[in-house]
Amino acid sequence: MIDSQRVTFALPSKGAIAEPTLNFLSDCGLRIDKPNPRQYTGTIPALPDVDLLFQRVTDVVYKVADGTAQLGITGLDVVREHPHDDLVVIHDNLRYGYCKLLVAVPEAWVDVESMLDLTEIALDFRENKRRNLRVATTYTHLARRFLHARGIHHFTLVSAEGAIEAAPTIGYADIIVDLVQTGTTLRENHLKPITDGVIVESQACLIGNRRWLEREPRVQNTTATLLEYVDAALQGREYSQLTVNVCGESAAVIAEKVAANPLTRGLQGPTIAPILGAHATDQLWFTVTIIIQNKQMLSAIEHLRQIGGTQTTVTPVRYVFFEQSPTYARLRADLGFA
Amino acid sequence: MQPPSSADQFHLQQTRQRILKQFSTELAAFFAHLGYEMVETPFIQDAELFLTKAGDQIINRLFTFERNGRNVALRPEFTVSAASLYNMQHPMGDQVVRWQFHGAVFEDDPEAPHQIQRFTIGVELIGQRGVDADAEIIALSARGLDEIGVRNWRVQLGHIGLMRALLKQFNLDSLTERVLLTQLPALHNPDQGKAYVLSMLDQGLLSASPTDEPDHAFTDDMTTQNTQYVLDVLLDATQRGVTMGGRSRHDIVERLLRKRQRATERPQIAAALDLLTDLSAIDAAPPAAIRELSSFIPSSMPGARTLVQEWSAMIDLLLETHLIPETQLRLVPGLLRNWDYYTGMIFDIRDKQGLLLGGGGRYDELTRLVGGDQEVPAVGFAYYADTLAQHLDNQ
Repeated sequence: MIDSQRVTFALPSKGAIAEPTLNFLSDCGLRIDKPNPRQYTGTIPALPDVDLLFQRVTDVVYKVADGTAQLGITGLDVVREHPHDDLVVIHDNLRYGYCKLLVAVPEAWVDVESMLDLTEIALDFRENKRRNLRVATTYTHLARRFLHARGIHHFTLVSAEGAIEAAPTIGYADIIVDLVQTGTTLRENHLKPITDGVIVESQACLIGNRRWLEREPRVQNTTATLLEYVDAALQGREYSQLTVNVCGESAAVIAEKVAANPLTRGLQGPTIAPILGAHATDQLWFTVTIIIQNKQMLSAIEHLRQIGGTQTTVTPVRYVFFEQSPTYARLRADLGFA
Repeated sequence: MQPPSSADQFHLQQTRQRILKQFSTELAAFFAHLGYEMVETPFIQDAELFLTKAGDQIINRLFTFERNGRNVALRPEFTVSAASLYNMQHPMGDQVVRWQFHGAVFEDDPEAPHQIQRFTIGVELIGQRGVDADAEIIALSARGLDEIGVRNWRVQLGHIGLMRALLKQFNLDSLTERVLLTQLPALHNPDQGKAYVLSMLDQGLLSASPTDEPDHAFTDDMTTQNTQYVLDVLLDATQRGVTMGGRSRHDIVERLLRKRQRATERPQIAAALDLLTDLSAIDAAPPAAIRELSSFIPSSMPGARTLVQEWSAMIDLLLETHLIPETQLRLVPGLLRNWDYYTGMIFDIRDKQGLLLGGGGRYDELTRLVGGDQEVPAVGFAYYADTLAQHLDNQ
């Protein structure tokens, strides 16, 4: 199935980030073709060298770590739980699939607010109940490491694959370490998160196989192209294109007024074009086009109004391409390339 | 670049490995000559064995894994294994043994994931009480260095037993005591100090409860207030459903009261921190340090006084017999070691550049902690052979 001339890109087939991943890639201009929903393969027409492989999030990590797939998208929590020398996190901020891996205890434990409280309770269990604190989790590696680092040594990990939140109610665990998105499930199970008990702030991330990335130009090129789309699309979300009509003596005078405020200077400066033949008055009208950051939009529009701007339109920007993909440049540095 | 694997690291240090091999053979012969028998311990043991003390700084680096449902660990050092072996061989706790160990020990440090294995050489003297045993071990650690040609070593001597004894005057619970002792390095750090530690404790150990206004805890009418408070909590907990996770309402209320009690102990804790700050500022040659230290010991604490006298006698013994030159010995009461099982004097040996070559101390409770029927007096030390090889390589 795996053609040595092609690149295998593993995507989540199930779970909370499966659907959002398809939407995300589609928003990046990388529409996915999955001919049969029951099959595990697919293609991206914009990346003709790429074969898609749909796998569960954990299997995405395994497949990329062992090199079966060269690239993959999965959750950061899963990557941290299964560290591997050949695994590189290429982009850890794809801005979807947000969740937290955290420690939660029964709400009835009103004496517990911090991990320090749990440290003491673990000692109490040991001394008074002659047993360990039982922790239900699927994230055994991260849970063990985190608890030890917080001075909690007397615990037993109860591994379970699902319905972790129910463990304290059913009675086979005292506390849990689990993924939380909104906290609704925790509340419904009478659990509460510990404030300083967040182990991983997770979201979707792009991973790659280090050995393939180091040696194989084909994988490097595909990664570069993929990151061009991803970076440009993520950057694009931050900006809008704004056009405004301004009346004035000349393009140069207007340019000076517009550029006087850093908010409306745009990425380089305003583009100004005359509006031809539309006016009964002797005044000249111009259309100013600038690219601005979304978070500064209203202040920018206010400034444009003050210099006589009117009829402002704002259009979303789909992509912003800089000189190079910053993520790919960072990856090359991480891999030790010049 | 592929990070260097454990094996690569191993080969990178060929020279040091050769040095290490040579001096470990020399040391083994030297210790054997003085009556220390070479003993082997298993590489893999139940992780539980190493989890006896919750305050151990090093436990979060224990290399653990699960095997057929059992949590096992690669040995992180020899002392715990020695105590366990002693229990097996001498369950009555009535024999004196002199043991030496050498070999690989392991740690799993997330900061250095490829430095798993280190070489350690250790010596344990179990079953013998008193200052003679302490002096024997310290002298042995220093003489061993002379034997393999390490020059310019310095011994820093501390006493965790004395620090614990002095904290007793503040009537703190065991968790508080333990947390305060782990703050010794912070108290000693000019960028942190007492105010920093106290503000940290306010956020953690000393915070009472979110449903609680801080002044509440300080009122005179504690009994009535607490009864009211307990009732509130019980009612509140009942509303929060039946998910109790293995604790009863009684457990929760009891601990809540303990926590509130602790929040009222802030003045004692501040006073304890003052004392620890003063003690950790001492770093001097023996006679001056003992004088300074004695000034902090209230006459109401004869136990602490005795400890200082014994300690002082042990130091005199080392100096009078010229086992340690006075210029190479510093008293640092605020010294802290990585393992929490120490109960008495503790020490570090460093070279002039401050490189930690070894260290040890007294651990009288360990045999019982690892499952023995009684506490057996014990004292020992270990060399960090890799830093020792590095030192010899530099030298």
